[in-house]
Amino acid sequence: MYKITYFPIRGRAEHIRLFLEDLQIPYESKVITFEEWESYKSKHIGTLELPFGQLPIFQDGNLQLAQSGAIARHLARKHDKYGKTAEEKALNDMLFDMAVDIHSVYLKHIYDPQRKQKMNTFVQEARGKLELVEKFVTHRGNKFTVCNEPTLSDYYMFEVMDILLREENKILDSYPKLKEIHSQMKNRPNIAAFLKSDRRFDKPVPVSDA
Amino acid sequence: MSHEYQLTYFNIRGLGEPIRLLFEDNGIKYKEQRVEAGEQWQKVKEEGVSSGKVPFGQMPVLQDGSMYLAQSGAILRHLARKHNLYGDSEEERALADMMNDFANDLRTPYVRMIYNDSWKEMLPEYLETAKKQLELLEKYLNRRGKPYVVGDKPCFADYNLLAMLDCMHRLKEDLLDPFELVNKYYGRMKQRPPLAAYFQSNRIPQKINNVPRG
Repeated sequence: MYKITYFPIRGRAEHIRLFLEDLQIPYESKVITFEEWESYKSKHIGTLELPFGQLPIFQDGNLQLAQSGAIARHLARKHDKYGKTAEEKALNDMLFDMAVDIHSVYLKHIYDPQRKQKMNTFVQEARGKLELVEKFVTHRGNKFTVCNEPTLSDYYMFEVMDILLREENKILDSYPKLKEIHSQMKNRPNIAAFLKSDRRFDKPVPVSDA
Repeated sequence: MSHEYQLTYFNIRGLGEPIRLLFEDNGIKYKEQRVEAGEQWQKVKEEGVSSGKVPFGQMPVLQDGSMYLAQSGAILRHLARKHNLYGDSEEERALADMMNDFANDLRTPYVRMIYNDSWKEMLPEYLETAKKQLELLEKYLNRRGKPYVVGDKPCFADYNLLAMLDCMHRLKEDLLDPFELVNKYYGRMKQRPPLAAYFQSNRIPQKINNVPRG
C-alpha cells in the first residue's frame, strides 16, 4: 500500500491526497506532528527516509520519494492521468508548475504576521497569475485545465484555488473558467466525500487563522 | 521531417541553461531567440502574452512545432520524453523528477541571494545553506551509487544539476571540494565531450544572471 508521510495539514501533500482519494486508491497516512518534527528530522535527515530533510515523503514498495511534484508525477504516470499525447503531458507539466508558483505566492503571504494589512498586494500578485491561467484554459477550451477529465495539474490547481479562496473568497470572481473547474473538482463524488471525512485536515498551513 | 526547436530566453545562463546543456549534450539542433532584459523583454512579453507565444508571460519558452511551452521544468521533461532522457525504469523516472526538483531547490536560495543588492552580506548565510544542501546531495549520490544522478547515463535532471553546481562553483571555487562524490560528478558531467566543447564555445552565455555578479 502507498504511504504518505506528512504533517497534519494540507500543505504540500494535499494535491497528492486529492488524487488518491478521487481515484479511490488506498493509502496509508503517517503523521509527523510539528512537535515531533525537529527530532524526527535530526534522526533521519540524509537517509532514504528523509533524503533532503523535507516532507512529504512517499513510499511505493521499495521506492521512497521526496518532492511533492515527483510524487504527483509518479502517480500520474502509474495511473494514466498525465494526458495521452506528448502535448497533453507537456501542458500538464506546465500547468502543474504554474500551480506551484501560485502556491508560492500564497505561502509568502500566509506566513507574514502583517498579512491582513497586505491583502491588496497578495490579491494583485495572485490575480496576475490566475489571469494568465484563465486565458490559457479558456483558449484550450476543455472541461478541465488540459483535458476533458482531470489529469495531473488539476489536483494541484484545485488545491491552490481552494486555499486562495479561503483567504479571499471573491478571488476567482473574474475567472469563470477557473471557477467552474474548481467547482467541478470539488463536487466530484470521491473528492466531496474526502472533504467531509476525518482524513481531511482543515488547515493549509500551521497558522492559527489561516 | 525537418524541424527545429526554438528556445526563447535572456542572454544569460539562468533557467535556460539546463535546456541548452540537454540540447548540446545530445546533439539536438536548436535555434535561439535571446532577449535583452528591460525594454526588449517588455515588448516580447506583451506581444507574447497576447499571441500565446509567451504563455504566462515568462521565459524560457520552447517552441516545438505549433506548441509554445513555458516553465523550464516542463520544457526539460518534454524534451526528455521525446529524446529518451527520462531514465529507463519507473523508479528512474521518479528519481529523475525528484532530483530535478532538488536542483531547483539549490537554485532558490542562490537566486534570492544573488539578485539582492545586499548580496555580499547575505553570502555567508547562503554558503552555509549551500554546504548543507551539498552534504545531502553527497549522501544521495553515495546511496544511489551510479555515475549519473539516477542511472548509468544522463537524464534531464543531470543538466539542471550541472547548471546549478556550475553556478555554485563559479561563486566560490572550492565550494564543492569537501564533497568527494559531488565533485567527481561535476567533473564527469562537465568533461563529457559535447559539454566540454560547449563550455569552451561562444554559444554559452557569459553571464549567469541578469545582474553583474555570479
